[in-house]
Amino acid sequence: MTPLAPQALARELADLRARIAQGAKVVAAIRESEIEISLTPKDEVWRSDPVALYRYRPVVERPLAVPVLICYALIGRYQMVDLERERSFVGKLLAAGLDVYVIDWGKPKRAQRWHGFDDYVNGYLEDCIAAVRGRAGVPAVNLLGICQGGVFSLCYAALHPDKVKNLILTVTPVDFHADSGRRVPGSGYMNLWTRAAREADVDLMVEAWGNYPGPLVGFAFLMMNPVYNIAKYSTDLVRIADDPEKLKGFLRMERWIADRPDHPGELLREWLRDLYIHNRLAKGDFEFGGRRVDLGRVTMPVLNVYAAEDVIVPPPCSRGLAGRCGTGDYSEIEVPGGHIGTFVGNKAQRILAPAIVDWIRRRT
Amino acid sequence: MAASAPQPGPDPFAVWREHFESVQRQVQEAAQKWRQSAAAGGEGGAAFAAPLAQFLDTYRRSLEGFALPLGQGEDPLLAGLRHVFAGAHDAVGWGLYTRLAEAGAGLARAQAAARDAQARVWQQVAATWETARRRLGEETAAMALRQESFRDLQDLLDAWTRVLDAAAHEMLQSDAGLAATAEANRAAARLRLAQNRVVELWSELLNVPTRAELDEAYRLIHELRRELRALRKGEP
Repeated sequence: MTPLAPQALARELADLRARIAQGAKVVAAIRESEIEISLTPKDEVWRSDPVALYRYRPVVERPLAVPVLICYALIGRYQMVDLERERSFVGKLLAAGLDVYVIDWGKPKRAQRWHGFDDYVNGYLEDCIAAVRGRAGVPAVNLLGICQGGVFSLCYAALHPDKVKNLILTVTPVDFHADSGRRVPGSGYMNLWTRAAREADVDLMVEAWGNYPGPLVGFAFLMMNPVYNIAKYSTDLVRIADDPEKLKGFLRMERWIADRPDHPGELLREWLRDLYIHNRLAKGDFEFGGRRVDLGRVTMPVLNVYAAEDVIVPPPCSRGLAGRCGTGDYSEIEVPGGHIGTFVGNKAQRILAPAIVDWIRRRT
Repeated sequence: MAASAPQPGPDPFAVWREHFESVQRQVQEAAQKWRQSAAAGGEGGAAFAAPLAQFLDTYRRSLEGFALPLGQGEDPLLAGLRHVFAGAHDAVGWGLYTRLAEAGAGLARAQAAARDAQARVWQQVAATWETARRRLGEETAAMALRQESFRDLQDLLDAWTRVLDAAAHEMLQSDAGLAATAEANRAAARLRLAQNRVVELWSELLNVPTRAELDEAYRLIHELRRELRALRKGEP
């Protein structure tokens, strides 16, 4: 291999300068409309406080009778499932003939400071499911939960099993301690941080912040991979600087990343204390609204999707559902890539939507 | 955060009596020295400076002595005055200013603690940087022995990113790294609480609803809505 020579370095630096200059021109030429996200047509069909329920306009004449309701997390926005036309998870479900609804949790304000699991699961989610059931004229829906939204969905299915026909969980933590004792480099930060904290730390955090600010949530995620999250704005960005399409994709993702809602204080307390610290969901003693979440009551078919390289929800934490729920029809699918890559990664995109559609169709 | 349980201290009256007597003695000694200095023909600032300084020092130390039984070590004059005049302050509406001063001092302490906690994280970051630099040096030396080199600058940057990333995760996931991060978070939350306290007092002063009052109102609304939801759904 030829050693790095001063002349070669100078040439490379000149080339770098040219690429950055070209990149600046490309960015300047990009219009706002070109980096909009969540473009699949939809209609608001229900709203309460900041929470809205949307129905995506079906693209087939007779979509499947039992709708799919997507329940996203409050950490980030639901647009992840419809980031761009070319790699829209929702678009693929619609094209396969499904009737798709999605919950937008909106941007919680101070009025949501005291909202906890009971409000989100037995309140908003229950109301959304009632709205979908009413519109479709069906007794139960296909519920598709993502990450924290997967935990909401699982809890709902355990508390109201008669209203969930099929349960699909994606990158959802269930056994929050399943990764204990094995530190995988770069993986499971939230689990490590919360185990290093005390219950009093969680109380202190909620007391101090009320709703936990979205930018701090974003910072926590940045700190899970600090070097590459900074490198992507330098080396990675330079690599795609002269490619308008890749740059637009980059900016769309940045737009989604930057749109972090504040996290309701009480929900955060329950999420960190009861689930991350005490692992109550897996232990079977998670309670809210005066009822215990008994996973044995999850008797409908369950599809559990996890990402092979998920560092936010390590695969063992998702797979911890196996053997804990009461269904006799439990399946798992592993998709390549990481947590978010499950919905936007090229490899995962080829697997995820077709697998879910096929699984649902075989149970409808 | 729960405060630690108060420890039984000495009888404050006995301590104060001892300090009164001590002050009395020291003031008498200072006055005596000042008289001797003046009688010896000393004049101007120099003649007054030493005994005056001693007198003030004695006064300051006596205040510290008064403050100790009150459990206030940081601001003896304020602690003493507050103890004596707190009732009157509250009666005429000046107590709020005292609480503001206390909240300001609390904020300063919280800021210092947050800076310290952040500095400890940055120490680890610096150590991480050094680890990565050493490893890249070793890697480069090994490549040189094999007569290899980086293809280009981008290749070198990629190698640096790779070793720095590994070192960063080692640090962040280590017990020391987790402890430093947890302490920085705690300190940030305490700083926020101290800021909230100052804003709360200013709001009170300006007759603006405070965060605590709004939170309480929202909590009430929230509980009422829950009850309404239960009634609508026919739950007990």
